[in-house]
Amino acid sequence: MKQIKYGFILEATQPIAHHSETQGNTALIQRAKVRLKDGTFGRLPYVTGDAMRHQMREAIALAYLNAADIGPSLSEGALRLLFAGGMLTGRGSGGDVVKIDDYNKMVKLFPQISIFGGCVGNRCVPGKLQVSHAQLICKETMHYLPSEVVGWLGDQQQAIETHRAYVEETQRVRMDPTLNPANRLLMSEPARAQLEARLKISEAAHETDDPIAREESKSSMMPRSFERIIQGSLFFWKLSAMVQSELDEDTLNVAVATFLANASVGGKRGSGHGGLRCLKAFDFRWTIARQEAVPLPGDMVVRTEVGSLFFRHVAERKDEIKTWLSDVNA
Amino acid sequence: MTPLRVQARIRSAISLPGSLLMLDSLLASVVAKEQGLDTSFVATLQPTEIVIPVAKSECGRYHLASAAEYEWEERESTWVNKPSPVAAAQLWANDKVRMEQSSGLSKPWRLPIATGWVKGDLLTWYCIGDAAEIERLLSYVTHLGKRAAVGKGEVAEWAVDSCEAWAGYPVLRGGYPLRPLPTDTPELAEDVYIADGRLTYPYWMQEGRDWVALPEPKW
Repeated sequence: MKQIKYGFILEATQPIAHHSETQGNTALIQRAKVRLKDGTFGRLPYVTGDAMRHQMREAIALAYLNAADIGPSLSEGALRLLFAGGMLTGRGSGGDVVKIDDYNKMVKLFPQISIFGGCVGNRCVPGKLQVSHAQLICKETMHYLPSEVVGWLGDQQQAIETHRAYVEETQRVRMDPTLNPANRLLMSEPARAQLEARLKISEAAHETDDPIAREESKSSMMPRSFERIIQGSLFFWKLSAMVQSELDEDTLNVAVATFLANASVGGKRGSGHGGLRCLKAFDFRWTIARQEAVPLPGDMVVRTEVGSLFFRHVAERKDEIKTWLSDVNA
Repeated sequence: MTPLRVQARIRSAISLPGSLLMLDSLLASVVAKEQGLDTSFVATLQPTEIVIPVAKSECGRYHLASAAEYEWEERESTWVNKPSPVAAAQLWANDKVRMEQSSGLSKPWRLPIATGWVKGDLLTWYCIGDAAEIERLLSYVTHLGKRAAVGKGEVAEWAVDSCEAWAGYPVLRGGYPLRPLPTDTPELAEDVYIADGRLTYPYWMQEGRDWVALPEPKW
């Protein structure tokens, strides 16, 4: 049994739009209560551990499919298991009897379930991985950072501001394509006639200041605003796991490395949001009781041996994996 | 085996919805992992096979270790979201998959979950045990409570110190239980909270449940 703890300094290469809720048509970023250095509480922006963990799960799922040479052929249950951790379906043989042989076969064919956990058939398999949220590095969170991280920030001469400096509000507008006369030429005759009738009603409603007619004939143009964490913000993100085999450790490393190789998180990723890159990795070999944190030289994400065991293990079993995935209940 | 006070300093919000956070079960889970036993199969084992460095009661039914003591300082409600893997389905599903969004297994859900910050960021247990071995085992415990997989209940530091024992130590204080106790325990107050539960780990297991005296529930 071996305990692993990694820490990373991540930089937002794009603004991060990780929202908690919408009020009116304004989306608010995720914030959580944090105890500040003076003992009071403040609500600070962060990226949830759920989001980071899910991205790791997705990254290793894609690596797994690639290694097993599987194309777009998955069942709904296999999709849920690979990309969302599965669901307790209540189906599967054995009723409430835990079959260790079945479990061992599943871990052999699907190594990441040992790390991430998940639900298959009637069984909930516990994971071994704890992923923290990505903590925005700001004045209010400096006292939570390990000394190595504070030291690295100092060496890099990073200026750290209050959390408010890292959040901005922006506005976007979903345009109404029918307002452009050139687009209207692409419409069928009856549709164009109907649209122009609506536009006339709208114009008349504005002239007469008739709110009901104006509401009924308004365009579908939709301005909306949202908060986002600004590009260039830094986050401290860490994870820990208790691994029980070399395959466990390599699987964890593959999940981390494949995620960080092309990391993104949050919403609006289709329009230039969510990009992250790893600036620095810390490999903490430590025990909590003794408070020893010794960063090893070099970034673990560029170690050449990462994944050799995992990819070989999956590739050697690809036929068995295809059969197993085709009828998995998850 | 000596009287000990065990403290965990927490550096994040923690989620402890209702159930007791038992020191003996924390230690047992680490011992089980060290022995290569997967905790999902504990149900198939005799709980007594997992030996922890904590003394047992005279009757042998429970360990002399309390549940965590803490007070809430600040509370917050947050959400657990489970999205449907629709985007993945577009790329990886076979042609026959029809992913139902409004019902069934792929329906996305959003559940509230209560978290909070405890006073002084401290959880405290009392026990009679082997300090060095307890400290070694607890060094593997990095998170406590629910939603540990996503960073809730992160432990910054464990402290295992000797302490003064009191009458009833470490399972009773003023006649009120600090852990699940048999209802026939001597010196138990008359108006203690009685509910269905187990006297030893694994506490989630249905088998062996009985009426036991419990600390007052926090929420």
